[in-house]
Amino acid sequence: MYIEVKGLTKRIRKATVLDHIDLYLESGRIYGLRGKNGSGKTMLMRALCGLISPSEGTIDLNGEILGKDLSFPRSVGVLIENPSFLGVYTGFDNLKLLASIQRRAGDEDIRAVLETVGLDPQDKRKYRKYSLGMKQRLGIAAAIMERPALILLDEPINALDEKGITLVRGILHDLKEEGALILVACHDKEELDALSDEIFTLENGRIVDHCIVEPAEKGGDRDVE
Amino acid sequence: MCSKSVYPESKRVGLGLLIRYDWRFGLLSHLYKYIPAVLIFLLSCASLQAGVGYDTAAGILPPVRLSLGDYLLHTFRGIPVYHLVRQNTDNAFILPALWLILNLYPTFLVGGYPLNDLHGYGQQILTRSGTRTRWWLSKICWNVSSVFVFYLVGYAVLLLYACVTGSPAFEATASVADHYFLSGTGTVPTAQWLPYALVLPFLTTAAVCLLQLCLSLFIRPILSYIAVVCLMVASSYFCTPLLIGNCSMLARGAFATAEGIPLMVSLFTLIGVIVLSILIGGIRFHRYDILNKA
Repeated sequence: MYIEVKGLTKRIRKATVLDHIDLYLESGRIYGLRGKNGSGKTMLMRALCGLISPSEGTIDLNGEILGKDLSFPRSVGVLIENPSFLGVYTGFDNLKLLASIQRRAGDEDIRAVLETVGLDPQDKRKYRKYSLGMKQRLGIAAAIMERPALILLDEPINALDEKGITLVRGILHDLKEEGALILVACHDKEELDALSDEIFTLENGRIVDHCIVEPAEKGGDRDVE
Repeated sequence: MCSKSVYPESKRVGLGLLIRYDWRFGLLSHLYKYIPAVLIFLLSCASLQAGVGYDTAAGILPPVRLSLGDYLLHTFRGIPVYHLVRQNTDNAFILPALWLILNLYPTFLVGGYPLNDLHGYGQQILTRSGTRTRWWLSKICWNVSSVFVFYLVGYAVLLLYACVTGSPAFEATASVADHYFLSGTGTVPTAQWLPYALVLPFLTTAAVCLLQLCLSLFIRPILSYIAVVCLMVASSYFCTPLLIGNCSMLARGAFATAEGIPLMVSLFTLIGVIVLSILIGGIRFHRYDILNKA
């Protein structure tokens, strides 16, 4: 799949939160978003998954325009800002409820993805008793359990320990190899460099920098486009 | 590199699935919120029974067995048409408290769920549902279902109370109707007023709740709730079908008073409000920005 964003602008009241953004993203790659708080990273993610509609510009997903031909991408997993689940259910039951909507993931897939993110599928604790790190892991599990073609993760390593961060890195690389298009927003510069194939830097709603991270140089010097 | 997710593209998600989710988490998991509904209807019945008991003891009314019809007329009475003339104690405007509570409690019941859900777990549901239209239609169904359950509970309470204390008959007692409902209505045939009592209260509340839901896509939910409160208060003051609260007040029905609103006028007005709320809300939701709550 591909995503082509042309002239994407979003105004909320009098503020321009996204300002003439142009992007071309394709599957099998991990794209990083970098920028200060309020730079527009989360807004861009919301626009790409159809939660907000552009004031100007278009978002083309495989030839279909978001907001016109589609309300939401056909195959998308999302973790935007804080994960939110039903407090009275266990992690497994929360994911099972979500999986029942599109029926693309069965009980075995849910157990597998919970183990992948480091959670116990047999854990009987309700979600409201989860720690922040566990909630974050469950949010990631929800985003990836149906193996969507497009994955949008906003600050996925928030509240995760070293082990959790390594786990997320491995998960995202595996999904990339399977052909997913992954967009990750992260404050941690080193982590973003290690994860991403390309990095966009946002400032005041605009893309001010775009670099390609060569595989041999992840974590080291960057090739600047 | 060509992209192929392990699973095929999303299957078409049935509206039924979304409706079941809303029933489960927006209705069945909040059934305790219908306990006050039971109390409201019980209070209505008890107040009529107490008043009739007092008047009977005082010799104002003959001894009677109150019927379901009496309780229906009393509960959904509202107030007669109010005429603003020079203010004096005989003409003081009194807010119909019971009628207001009856109509505003359901709006309180349904007020918070849709947008709260949208800003939390519901976002995950929404992005998987495929289209915003399906989400909107599911919320419409949930909204109307919630109002339906409220009235189901209410009518059940009235029926049980009537069975225990009097008679389950729809026929109203003439002396009680003349004294407590509206003078001169004791002889109105049951078939003439019963449709007002069984259909219009539910339809009015459904219209008000859907209007509130639609408004909450334009203004904050608390403001949309205040707006419908103002609508209902204004309805008790002015008698016009455009203030749709009038449609649920039996004392303002055409069977009760010459200035009253005919059944068909109420029906068309309410259906019009319902249809417009659904359409305008659907159009608005199609472009609605889903941001996290501030």
